Amino acid sequence: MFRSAASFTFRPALPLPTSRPPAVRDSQPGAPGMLPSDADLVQRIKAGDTNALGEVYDRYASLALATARRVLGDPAAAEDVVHDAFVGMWRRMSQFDADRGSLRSWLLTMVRNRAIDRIRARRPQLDLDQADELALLRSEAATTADEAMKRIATGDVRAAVDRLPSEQRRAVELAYFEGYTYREIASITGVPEGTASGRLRLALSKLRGALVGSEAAPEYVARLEQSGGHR
Amino acid sequence: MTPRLECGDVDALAAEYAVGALEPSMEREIAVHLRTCPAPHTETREWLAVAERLPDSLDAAEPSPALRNRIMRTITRLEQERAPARTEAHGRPVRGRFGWFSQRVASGVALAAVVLALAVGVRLVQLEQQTAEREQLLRAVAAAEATYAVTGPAGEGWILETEQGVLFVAADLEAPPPDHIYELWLLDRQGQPIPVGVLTDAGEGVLSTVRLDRDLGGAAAFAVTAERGRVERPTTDPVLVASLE
Repeated sequence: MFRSAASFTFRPALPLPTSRPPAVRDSQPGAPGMLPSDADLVQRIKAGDTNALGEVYDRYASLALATARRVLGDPAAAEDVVHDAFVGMWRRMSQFDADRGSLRSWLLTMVRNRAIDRIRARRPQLDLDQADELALLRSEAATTADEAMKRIATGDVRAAVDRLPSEQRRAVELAYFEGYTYREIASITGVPEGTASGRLRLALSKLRGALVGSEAAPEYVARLEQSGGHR
Repeated sequence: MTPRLECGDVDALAAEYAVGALEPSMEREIAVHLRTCPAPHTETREWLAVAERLPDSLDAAEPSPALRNRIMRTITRLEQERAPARTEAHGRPVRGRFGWFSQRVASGVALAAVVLALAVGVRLVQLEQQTAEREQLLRAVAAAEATYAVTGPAGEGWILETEQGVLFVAADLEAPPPDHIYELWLLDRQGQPIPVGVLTDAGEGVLSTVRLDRDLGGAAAFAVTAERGRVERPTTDPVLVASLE
């Protein structure tokens, strides 16, 4: 029965651009001399403009490469990963909605996934197609809060991370840059899983408080500290 | 049917999700929940935004001049490869390939059909859990903004556009072959399939529901194929299809 619908077949699996311009959040051209917004670049890429991808590269390649190098520790392999991530972004751009998602977040998640996939021989390899699809979803989830975060200077981010207690910073690094689950982090660092999770929560709460500030944040962090990160 | 995460489950795992410290299956469930849940999940989203700034804590890296050229060469080659496909896509409208299945039905008629099918499902479905889900479904059906009939050799079902997202609903679908699942697709106007979910519990007496991973914006059709696990591109012909235009 599963071939009985033979009159209906899918087209060859080739990526195609969308036939109509996508809606973008800030589609108005920037003022003279200003850089185009990410949404503008997305729109142009969807229309098949390869130069627009070059502009995205110029904007984010350094950050993407830094992420890949941090995970892999191998400059050549890191460039391979960045290449693959940009190509993956090009292929999947028709699925990206600039109204909902962050281009930066999406790209960096693809870089991170590919880099971690290269070093994680001990765990089943990621299905990169599924991971890319997931990266699209992740890129949408933070956009509201992302507006405030975008205004934070890079140096402030580094300073905030440096100020974290070493065990919390280590937990975040093991997760984000080395691809370990909280259960694996617990095993690696010799603490219960709840403690590993608590360290992640404390670290993110402190980073959030340090970066965007909040009157409630110190009290909240203090409560978390008292409970070892358990809510 | 896989139990869905509650909002509290998502919030409890917010930190682990933000820094990518969950197994991929759980990460996916949370991502889909955040995509479709009307609750704000403020802390989860804030932590995710914080985690996404972590690469800024790294030393800057200067790509080699060759990397940019390499990427652009690859992209140019991809563009050249897909140019013939564009011609074909424009020469064969999607509608022409979908001519045999039923067109969108009037909303009122479809709604009545869904309610009727779900009522039949009451008799077929024995599990208490599914009965509760059926009641949720009936509420979703009542609030549906649009419905589309889905038909094919595997049975029939409906696509419901609701405020909470897009649902695929089917009662008593034929089970897929052994070791197969049903994968759900949206097709854009060029006929390109976009994976939007899987259905793993089809069979006689089963009321199946899947919340699609995305809305219907830009989609011309919906289709279901039987696959050996989730795939990026369909490998078999559809067993259920619907026009969304």
